[in-house]
Amino acid sequence: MKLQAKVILMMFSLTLLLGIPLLLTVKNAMHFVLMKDIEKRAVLSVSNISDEAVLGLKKRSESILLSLLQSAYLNTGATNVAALDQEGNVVAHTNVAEKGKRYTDSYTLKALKSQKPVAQALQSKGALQLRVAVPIHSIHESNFSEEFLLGANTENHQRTREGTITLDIPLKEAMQTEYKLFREIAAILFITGSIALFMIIFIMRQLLRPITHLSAGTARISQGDYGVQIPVSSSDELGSLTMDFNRMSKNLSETTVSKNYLGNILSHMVDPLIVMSTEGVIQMTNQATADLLGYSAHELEGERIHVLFVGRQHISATIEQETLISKGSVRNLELTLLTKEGEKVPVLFSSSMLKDSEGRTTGIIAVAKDMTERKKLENAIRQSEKLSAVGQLAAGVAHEINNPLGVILGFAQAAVRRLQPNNPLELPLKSIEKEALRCKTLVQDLLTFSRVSKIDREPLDINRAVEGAFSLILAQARMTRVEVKKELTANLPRILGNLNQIQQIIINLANNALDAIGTGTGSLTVITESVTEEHLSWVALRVIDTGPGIVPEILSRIFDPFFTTKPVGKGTGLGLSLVHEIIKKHSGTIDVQSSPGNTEFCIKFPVRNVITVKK
Amino acid sequence: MAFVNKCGHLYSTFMNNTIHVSTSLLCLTIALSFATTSVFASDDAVIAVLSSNSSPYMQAYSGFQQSFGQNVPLYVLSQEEPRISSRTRIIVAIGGKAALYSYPQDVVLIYCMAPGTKVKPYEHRGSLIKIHTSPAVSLTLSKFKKLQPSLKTIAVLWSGDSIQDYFEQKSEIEKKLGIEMLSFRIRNPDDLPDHLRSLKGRVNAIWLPPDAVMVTPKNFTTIKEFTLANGIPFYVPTDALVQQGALASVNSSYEEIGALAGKLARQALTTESLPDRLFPEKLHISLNLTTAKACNLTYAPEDLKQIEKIVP
Repeated sequence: MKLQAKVILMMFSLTLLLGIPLLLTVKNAMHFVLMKDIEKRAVLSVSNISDEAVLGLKKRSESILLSLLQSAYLNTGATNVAALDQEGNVVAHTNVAEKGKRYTDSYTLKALKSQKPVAQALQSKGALQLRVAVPIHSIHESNFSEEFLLGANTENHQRTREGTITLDIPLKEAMQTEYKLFREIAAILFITGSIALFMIIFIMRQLLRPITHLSAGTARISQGDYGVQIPVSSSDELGSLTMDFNRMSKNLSETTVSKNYLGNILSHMVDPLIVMSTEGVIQMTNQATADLLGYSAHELEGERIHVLFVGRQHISATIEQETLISKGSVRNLELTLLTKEGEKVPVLFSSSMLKDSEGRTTGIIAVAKDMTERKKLENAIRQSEKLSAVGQLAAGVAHEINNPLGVILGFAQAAVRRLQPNNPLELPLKSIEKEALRCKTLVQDLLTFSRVSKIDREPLDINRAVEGAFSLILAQARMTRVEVKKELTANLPRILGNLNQIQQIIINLANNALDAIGTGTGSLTVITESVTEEHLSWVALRVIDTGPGIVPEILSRIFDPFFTTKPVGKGTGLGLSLVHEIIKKHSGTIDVQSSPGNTEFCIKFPVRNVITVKK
Repeated sequence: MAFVNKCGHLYSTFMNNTIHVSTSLLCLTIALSFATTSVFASDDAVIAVLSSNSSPYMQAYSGFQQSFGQNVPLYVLSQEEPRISSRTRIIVAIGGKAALYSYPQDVVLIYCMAPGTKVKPYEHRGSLIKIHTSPAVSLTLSKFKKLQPSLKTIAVLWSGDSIQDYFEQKSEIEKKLGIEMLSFRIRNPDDLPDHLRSLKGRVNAIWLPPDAVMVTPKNFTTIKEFTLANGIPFYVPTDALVQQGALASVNSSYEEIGALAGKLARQALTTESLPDRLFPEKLHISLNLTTAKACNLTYAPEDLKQIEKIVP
């Protein structure tokens, strides 16, 4: 319950506690005053006629008394007035039928005994009435003045009770007045109470406003928003408190690094950061962790660190052990993390102990640097170096083999030409010629591979290269059941390249596709098109076949020299290596996507503008 | 509220009962002494007659008894007729009604506590001695002068014949004290308001002497309200009236008056030479401080110490 509600409830209870008894007291007091007033008027009225009434009572004269009673009747508005003797006999009555009766009710007996006026509210004929009985005394004048002068008590000794006059005064009007007054007082109390309540609410709001501000300010500080300032609206104790709060907040902002500030730093870190307990339970991660691994921070908090590692428990335990016990920290540990989807991410992992101001270990903080791109780069460099080495080797070997191979082929062909039919040397000689020719082709390929960097390049329409190579592909395809198609985009921008080498790329890829489809049916499509990526323009050449595809396990090795899946003697393993090398020398890229029934090689060459091309 | 009223009623009842019981005990004591006297006294030469058994008369009788030193037969007129034998030589009448009773003519009649009564010599041929309720005028006025040093002119309001001889030495007193006494006889109480209005601005004070005809509740109330409203000091003959709102009184206690009667009775038993009247000399001053404040009169604490009764 809010403080304001508590105060209002307390004030309301207090108002009820005081208001109801006050109202009842006022009601009783009003009733008492009204009754006393009526009684006093009655007594006064009787006092005015008491001297004559004494005479009437002494003489028991109805004629004297009746006029007096009627006078009192008119003056007081009584319903009836009676004169009784000392025994309660009616000497006179405004209702003359009552004369001669004797009243013996308790009230009359009490009134007859009393030396003072007696008043009592009674129900008479269904209406509430106040019956007032006033004793009538005769005074002994002989001693009275003297005793009064001497200070004697003249009340009892100098008077003789002659009788009693009773009046029945209706209380209806008085009750109405009392009820009206009561209502008015209740209304005044209610209005006053309501105004007081509203004033209390208003004052409470005024009083609580600084407290509300303080509460909001404290909440903001608890959220790490140090330095928050609250307007000082008063000069009282709450004002002092607000000023103290502002001072504290300012000091905090100057001396304490806020959670927001830290949060900003962590969320803008490029590398994933993980904070864990000494037991390896993740306590906090940053946005980079979420981006890299696909987990939200909430999902990771409370989990053990090993869920993120390939090799799980063992590696996790090693890291914790090494960090906490062996060295206090680990640096640049090459590990592989697992994303939420199960993909592996190579990282460079470093961790160290977190300690509090007293030097106690409170946890472990770890940073994992994403090594995916770097690994790719390293692979590319390794491939390039491998190809370069192979190229140099191939060039040397080819150069040394080429001449002897020419002699062997020359003599073999000359011998074959001179053979007579059915000569038993025909088969061996023709075999020598055939294998020598195959070796010559291999040597030519090796020589071509080694000479890629040395060729001249010129502005080239790639469609022209496709058209040139396509006749050769069609000739080869006639011996198969493969449908060969081309989809060339007209008016493609020029690229800077060597026509023969571009054609060699197309022929090699097409040969591989035809070999892959083999004796089955299928299709081979060559597509050229213009591509724009990241503000760069490319001319793309795509070779798509419907062969069985390349299994994922060998996908990363297809560009390695001498890697082939063809039977021995059918392929050299240099085709795709040559393609890769030519593309690299043309500053292009090659991507492969393969699945059963669809393999696509996408080669992109950068477009050179006129000035670039001329240069 | 009802509870308070009930408490008030109970207190009032208790006080009334207490007064009633006290009075009854006093009466019983006196009645017993009377019975003892009646039975055992060998001499009823002196008897006491009281108008009624009211407290002032009883106090005076008590003083008489102590001063006389011997029990005498007591008769209360409101209860019985006095039985006067041939041996009775002195009658002490206490109260006006007792004074005016028809006694044997040859007895000595000493009467007191009868401020509005004067027994004429033709009404009683024997020795007749009146003991005044108040001190002599000169003494009384000198005390008034002490209470009100600025007193120059005082109006005296009276009505009955009995008070006439009270002012016999008026001119001498005026000379001696430097106070002018303006005497007004109020024959008809209805004339009192006119008289009071005529006094406004003319007098420094108003005095009601011990005149039972004049001092009625109605007249007292009329004068009191007039003097209070106009800040005029109002002097009265008894402290009971000071209690009721008058400024001050100079009087003697009722026991002292009774004691004077006792002293005279003893004197009358031994000698023929008796005064015809006697004033009490032991004074008793009463002062109402509330009324004094209304009249702009202030008193030093030392002065107040000399006043016997102070009504706050």
